[in-house]
Amino acid sequence: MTLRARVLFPSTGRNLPIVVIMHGFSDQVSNFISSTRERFAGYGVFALFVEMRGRGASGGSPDAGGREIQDIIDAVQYVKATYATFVNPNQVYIVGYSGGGGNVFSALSKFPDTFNGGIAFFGISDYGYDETDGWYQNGASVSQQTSLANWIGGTPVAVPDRYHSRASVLAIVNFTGGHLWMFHDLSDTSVPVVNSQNVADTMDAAGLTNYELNITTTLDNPRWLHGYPNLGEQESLIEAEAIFVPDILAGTYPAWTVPASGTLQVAGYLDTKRFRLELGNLTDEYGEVTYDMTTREFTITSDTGAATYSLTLKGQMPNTSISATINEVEDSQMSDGFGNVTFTGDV
Amino acid sequence: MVFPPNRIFPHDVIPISGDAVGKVMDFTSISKSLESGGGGVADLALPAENLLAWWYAGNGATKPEEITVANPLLPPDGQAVTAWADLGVSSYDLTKAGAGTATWRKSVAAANGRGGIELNNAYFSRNIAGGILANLTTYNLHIAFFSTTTALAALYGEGRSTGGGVPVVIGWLNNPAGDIQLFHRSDASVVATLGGNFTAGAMHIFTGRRIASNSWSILLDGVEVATDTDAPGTTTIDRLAIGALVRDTVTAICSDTTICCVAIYSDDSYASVFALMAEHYGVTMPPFLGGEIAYASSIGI
Repeated sequence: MTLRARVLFPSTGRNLPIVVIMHGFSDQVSNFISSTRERFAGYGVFALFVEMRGRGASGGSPDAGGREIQDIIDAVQYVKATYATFVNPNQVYIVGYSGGGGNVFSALSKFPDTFNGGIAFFGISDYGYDETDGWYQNGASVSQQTSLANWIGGTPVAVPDRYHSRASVLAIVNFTGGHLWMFHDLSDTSVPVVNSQNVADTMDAAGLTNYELNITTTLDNPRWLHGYPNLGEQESLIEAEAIFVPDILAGTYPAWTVPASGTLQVAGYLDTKRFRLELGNLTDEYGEVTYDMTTREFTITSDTGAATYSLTLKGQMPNTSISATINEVEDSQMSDGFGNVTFTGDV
Repeated sequence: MVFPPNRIFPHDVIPISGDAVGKVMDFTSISKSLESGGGGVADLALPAENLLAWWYAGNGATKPEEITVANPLLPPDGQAVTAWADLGVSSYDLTKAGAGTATWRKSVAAANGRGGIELNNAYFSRNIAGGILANLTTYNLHIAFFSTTTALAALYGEGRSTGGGVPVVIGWLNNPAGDIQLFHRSDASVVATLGGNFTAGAMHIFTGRRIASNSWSILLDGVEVATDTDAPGTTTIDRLAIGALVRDTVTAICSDTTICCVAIYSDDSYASVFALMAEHYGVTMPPFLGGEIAYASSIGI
């Protein structure tokens, strides 16, 4: 399946930070007008505008907070390989608007140590898991509800586990390094501000301080009103770039790696520099993993009932028999030539 | 409503100023070997990965009886060139054809003093079943050239030597005058992309990108000038040429055109290759590079 994106960067630039920029829920890359694309590139970054699957010229079926997050990572990997002359592979940020802001939350939850930072403008942090604050129940229009049901495979009542697996409002606690900026206006009805507030609450509860929640009201100028940062549209959003772009250019937030041991949330799937863990079909389960890479002990649980898992450890000795203890059962598998070894089972 | 310290409500916006505006890392010169300017041996170091073919008017411009890749002596300035060796891994070495002349120019002023092969009603060709680009769904074709005319010509072609004129695969024509075109045409005669302009008397770098089976982009001096979404099928190819369009009869032969470099890649490394070639040949780079990219999903539907 072929996916599409657009890139733009200063022709004489080298070692440029990669900035992924995500469009809204049912839009496409062309919603960012050319002057907006050039403005981002003009900051001195490698601007990567990813077109979500099933939108624009990208292939595949649309999703919301599920498989298209892997697509973003695939785009980043493609850029690192194809534009190695121009980019700094250790500086990767993601910016998104509305549904794209939802992609930011999901990407930081599912691929936490891939990103040095994320910037979510009025992002969707829950597509329908919470009966009150989920976007399906609070904010989505009738047509958007229909899209959600079609793309995810049913309503929140019919397929609650699938919405659970997309609840980055729960899994955002994986993002323990880097920095998260959130921008929202209190009056936003398209994506209510509770989406950002709940993310902040979750991070607070986990003791995380690596975020900023920036909310505007009718008393403020500029305001972070819902839309695109295009000339002639929500131009006030352009001013928000002054808040996060300098840190991107300065490399304020270095590359990081999840700890060698700890507990992480698994919203369908989780990919870190140390391991990748997939539950079910990637989009229908939610769980948790407690791990110790030194002893290779893993405890995998599912909050959504019985599930299959696939756990791939990275950075092991190549072509070697590797042992791991998963849910108190020891297993051995041969690693491949790249030092990856995969264990599968049920929880 | 009470917010903890990292909840900003409202926020003082800090204007971007000074170094933060348009900050671009310093340009790092790409390593080159040996002499600068004046043509010479392999002083343009292109990436080797996915390089399908590379005809370079340095040590690639050869008279076979005296010059090989392993012995990259150069003919004297102004000498006739009878063959052009492929510096890539495929050894698509070409032989001079046509009634006119192919002349080694050691230092082309418009090409930053680099070497080139001046074609006057002449071209280079070889028989090759299937061509190089004809059946690829992803490729980059780069051509560095200088021409004193905008008359009809072709810089690179893959086609059929017999059986009719339809299966022109990759043509690059200035027809009408000054308008560059990239063809990737199937047996069904689908023209995939066309467009753009070039200036007679100036050095140019043309890039044709096939991003996916149904996605095309052509660039002149690093600026995208046309795109297309046609998806031509496979074509029967048995010959390729530099400086002419090969069909059942050879047409659109170059005149008063100097070709300095033709590089073909099977990946989409156009930006890196273009940047190297632009620096080498003194072609002004645009402020930005970029365009559409296509990449494979690792997880599928």
